[in-house]
Amino acid sequence: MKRTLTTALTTIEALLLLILLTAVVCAQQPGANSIASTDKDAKPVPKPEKKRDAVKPNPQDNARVLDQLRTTFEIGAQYINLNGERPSKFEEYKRVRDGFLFRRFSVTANPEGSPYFLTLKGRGPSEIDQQYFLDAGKYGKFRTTLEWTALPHLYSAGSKSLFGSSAKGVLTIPDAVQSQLQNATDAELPGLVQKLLAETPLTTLRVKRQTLRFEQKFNVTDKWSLRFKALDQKRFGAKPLGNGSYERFGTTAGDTFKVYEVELPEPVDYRTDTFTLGTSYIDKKWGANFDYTYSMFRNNISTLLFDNPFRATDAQTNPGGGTGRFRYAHGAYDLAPESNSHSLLLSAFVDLPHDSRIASALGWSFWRQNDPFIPFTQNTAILAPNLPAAVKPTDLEALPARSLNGEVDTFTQDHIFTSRLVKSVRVNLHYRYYDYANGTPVLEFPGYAAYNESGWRTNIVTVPGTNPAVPIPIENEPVSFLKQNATAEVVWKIADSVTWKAEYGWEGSDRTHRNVAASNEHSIAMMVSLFKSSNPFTARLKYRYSDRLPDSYDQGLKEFKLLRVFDQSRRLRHDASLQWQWRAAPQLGLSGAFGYLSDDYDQHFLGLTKYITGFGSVDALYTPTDKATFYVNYSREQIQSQLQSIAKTAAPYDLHNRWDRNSRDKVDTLGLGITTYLAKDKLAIDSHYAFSLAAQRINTANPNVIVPTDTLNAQAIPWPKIESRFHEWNNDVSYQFSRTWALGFRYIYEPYKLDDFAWNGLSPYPISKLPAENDGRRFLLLDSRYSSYNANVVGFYLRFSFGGKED
Amino acid sequence: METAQTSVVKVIQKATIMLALAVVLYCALSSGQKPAVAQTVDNSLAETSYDAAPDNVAGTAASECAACHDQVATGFAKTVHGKVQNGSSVSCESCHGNGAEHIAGGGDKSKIKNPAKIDQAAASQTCMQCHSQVKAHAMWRGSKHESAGLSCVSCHSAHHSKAPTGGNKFAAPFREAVAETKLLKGNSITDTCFQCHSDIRKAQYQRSTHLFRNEDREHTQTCSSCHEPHGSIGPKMMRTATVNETCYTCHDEKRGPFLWEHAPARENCGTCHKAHGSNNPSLLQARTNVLCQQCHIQGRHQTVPGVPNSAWAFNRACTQCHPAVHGSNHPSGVDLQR
Repeated sequence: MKRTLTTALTTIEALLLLILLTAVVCAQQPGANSIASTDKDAKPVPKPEKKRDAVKPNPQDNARVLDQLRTTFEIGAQYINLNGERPSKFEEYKRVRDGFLFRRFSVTANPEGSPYFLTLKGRGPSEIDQQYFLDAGKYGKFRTTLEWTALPHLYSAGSKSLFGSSAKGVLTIPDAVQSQLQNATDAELPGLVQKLLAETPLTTLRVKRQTLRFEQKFNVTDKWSLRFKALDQKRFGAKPLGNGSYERFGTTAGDTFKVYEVELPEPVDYRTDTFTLGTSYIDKKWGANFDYTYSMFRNNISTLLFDNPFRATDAQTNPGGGTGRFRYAHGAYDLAPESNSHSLLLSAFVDLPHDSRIASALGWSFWRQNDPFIPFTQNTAILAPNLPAAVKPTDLEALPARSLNGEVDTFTQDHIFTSRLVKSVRVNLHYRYYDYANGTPVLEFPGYAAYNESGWRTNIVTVPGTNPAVPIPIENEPVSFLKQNATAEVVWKIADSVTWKAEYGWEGSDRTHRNVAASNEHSIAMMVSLFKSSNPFTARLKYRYSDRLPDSYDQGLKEFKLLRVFDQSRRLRHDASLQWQWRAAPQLGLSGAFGYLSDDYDQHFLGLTKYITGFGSVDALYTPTDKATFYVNYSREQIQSQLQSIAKTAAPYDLHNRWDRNSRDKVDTLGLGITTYLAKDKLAIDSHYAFSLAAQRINTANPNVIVPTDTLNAQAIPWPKIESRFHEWNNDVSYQFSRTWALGFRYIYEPYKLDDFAWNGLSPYPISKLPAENDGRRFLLLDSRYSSYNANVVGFYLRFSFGGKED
Repeated sequence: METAQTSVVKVIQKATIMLALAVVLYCALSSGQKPAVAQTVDNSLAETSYDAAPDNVAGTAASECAACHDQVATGFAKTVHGKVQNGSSVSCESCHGNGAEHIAGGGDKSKIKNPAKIDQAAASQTCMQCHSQVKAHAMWRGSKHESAGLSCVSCHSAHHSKAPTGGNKFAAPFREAVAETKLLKGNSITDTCFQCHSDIRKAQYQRSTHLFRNEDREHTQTCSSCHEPHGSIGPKMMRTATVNETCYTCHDEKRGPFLWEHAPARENCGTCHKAHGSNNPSLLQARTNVLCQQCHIQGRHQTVPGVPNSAWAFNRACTQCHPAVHGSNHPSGVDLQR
């Protein structure tokens, strides 16, 4: 893959070059390479009396900082060979291009004897993934940090979209195309769509995030400090967005479907600004902090209007809404609503005798969201008989309110008491409280545009055949919850190298609009630690048992009555881990970890019944000399989950049609590398290899003999194995010719292979890939995916350093 | 909100509060007592207190220490600690205690304090002599890291930053700035955390990951972007009060509140997502349809095992029709379709 250097020198680059130029000039000043005299022989003051601001100011400090500016930068060139079916994954969160590069730079001044410091670092000035970091100040007095990062998220470089854009947030299809596709017969449609796609160029779906962070800290006195932080984040680009519906048709073997989908390239243009003001007063035995934060989220594209490629004219569903869906000509999405948040955090601590401390924090947040609503639908054909005669579903007047006036207040408490009542026994008590109080008004809606904006539904119906057929009003349910955690720990240092810890924990949850209104989880935990730094072997063993018990479970009217949702239902948890380190020899360190977590849910009900994770790792670090380091590590993680479910057939549900799913994930990871210095430390070799193999097996089984007429719905089907293999071999060899410059060589080999049935062979128009029971004539995707790639990056660089002192 | 704890829990709560008050009262009444502080250091259990008084010093000059510890002294002067020491009242003895007996003893290790080899509380307290003003440090005592037996020197190297694995020292000027200024033991924040949290290391190579890396293997998103390792008010040492508030720091388009909420998502992003890395797209705990089916057996839907290439299983699966899984503000978004 070859790209031209598309990004010319930006303002930032110009600024950067100016800084470098300044640095060069400074480096040429007399005495630039001189080493400031150190105070090694100075007489120390006998006893420290003042801890901060202890460095004595020196009139020459400023000059020293400039004199000792050390500048380093790397320029070079590289060639990339990237191939594969869909290689976007290689650049998912970075940009790697070939050609000449200004790779990175650093300007630092950290003169001995001066309290001032300056660090300016940057990488990729001409890239779309770039980072600048400025950190300057005076130790103990003030510190200024400025950081700029640009981070891309590439979804796919090979997507296809029929949409054009006439304005921000408007995706258009030519009217002629809409008419042609609407009027085409089922037989003609595939050919027409494929022809259109063949004429459509590939497009890139990527969202870039640019973050500017400024932070200023200032110590007014040695006890009182002030801080200010500002964060500006912008996100822009496009990402895939789903949009679809289906129609169901009964057959003697089960249900078949017409599936509708038009995946959309959702335009993104977000901006977030966050400001924090804070102050701290820390005395010897007590301290207090206060912070106020304001956060503002803005979406410059609040609504997405889009055309339906398959319809030129609006229509509504056939009577009953079961068929004739997906008949709108123009649709709309209400994109992420703008919101504001104010937060206050007050924290304090006080030290008490017996090595005791109480630390408390109180926090309040106020979230507000009042983005204007958009109409129920853009489909002018939808009739809503229950609305006033002159009001249509496309009118804002049809809404019960013009905006939500959403209000959430949160209140946080966190209290820690820690004490050493007996010399070898420490007690920790911890209480945490988080109240998410949703004061958003409840709005009752007269109906909504259902069936993908093609019909009008006036209530939510219950699950047929399992619950009473009660029409449920269409109203929002502002979710609130309260979480409380309390833990009591006793840490007993039994011997010099043996520590034992026992812990009791409680978590209480209270919720509204959920199945479980209240639950309590109790846990007991123990830890034994064998640790003494002079011992070659250290280990830590932990075990925790917990039991979460809901007060009652209300299955509600919208779900199958035998379902128990795992994040609220009864749960027994076993959690064990072991960590150890062994310094087998002065040059050889070994370490390992083992972890096991098991969650058991009530198997008498449907839903997730079991979740188990196991983990093991070993690390070895060998340093035969101070010029060479070898390391190797290996880990394996296994995850297993079991689900019990049932297929919907003709009402009522028939328990014969139960199906169970067993999922197993396995991740093996290997890492090894060497860093060594040869030729009198001038030749540096750094080589790293990593390998990750992840496999996923998902199987289903029918515990009973299913009803023959439900075969298409209830038949258990094993899924193909999903596997991804990732290799990374990263090499860097450099030779330091002199204090000023070095020549380096880099080589990266990175193959990746993904085998996933859900993405394999996907295409923008996957009609031929769908099974016979899915009629996908109106199924149009962006095909934003990645698959396998082989990447080879070879390059060289020149590293120049001048001025100041070597790091 | 009205709570609905059991009576047993209420009793435990009250008992805990009473116990805490009793302890505070006891401590307050006995505040006149001075804790015993060892004047000479033997690096043993005797020195296990946050109450330890500042070490008494003999006025040993740094140059005297450097006479034997030349390797440590080399490079130390360039670090934050070295610079603070230079020309100030802070000396080697500020952290290591009285050096006179150590010198007189011909370098007897039992006569000098080594924060890396003493009780964690005492080690941390050594650092707190100067670093107590950092806001997060107020939450250190009683934090998960502290109660697990860690101290400042578990992650920080007071003399100079250590880079045990990987990294070309000549390229040191380009190293993660925080690793340098914070004197971390690892090459970077993530390397330092991986020392103990080796189970997270794999995440950086998984199909979806939050541990983004550039072509130089440097992380553009690090552990401390979300976690405050010194102690915090949140669970899992999160920087904010909840998992979700931490996620909203970068993903605030999901903050809402929304007209139509997806309750599990509102309560904990971790119900559906693995924060560090996953074998599934979008950091999901399981494949999209597998994940949704854990909580949904709706009658209006086919909760089928599914043919692999069916519309329910491939590409975006359930989110093909229900993309607004984090909440919707569309008046017709009750089914999270808009």
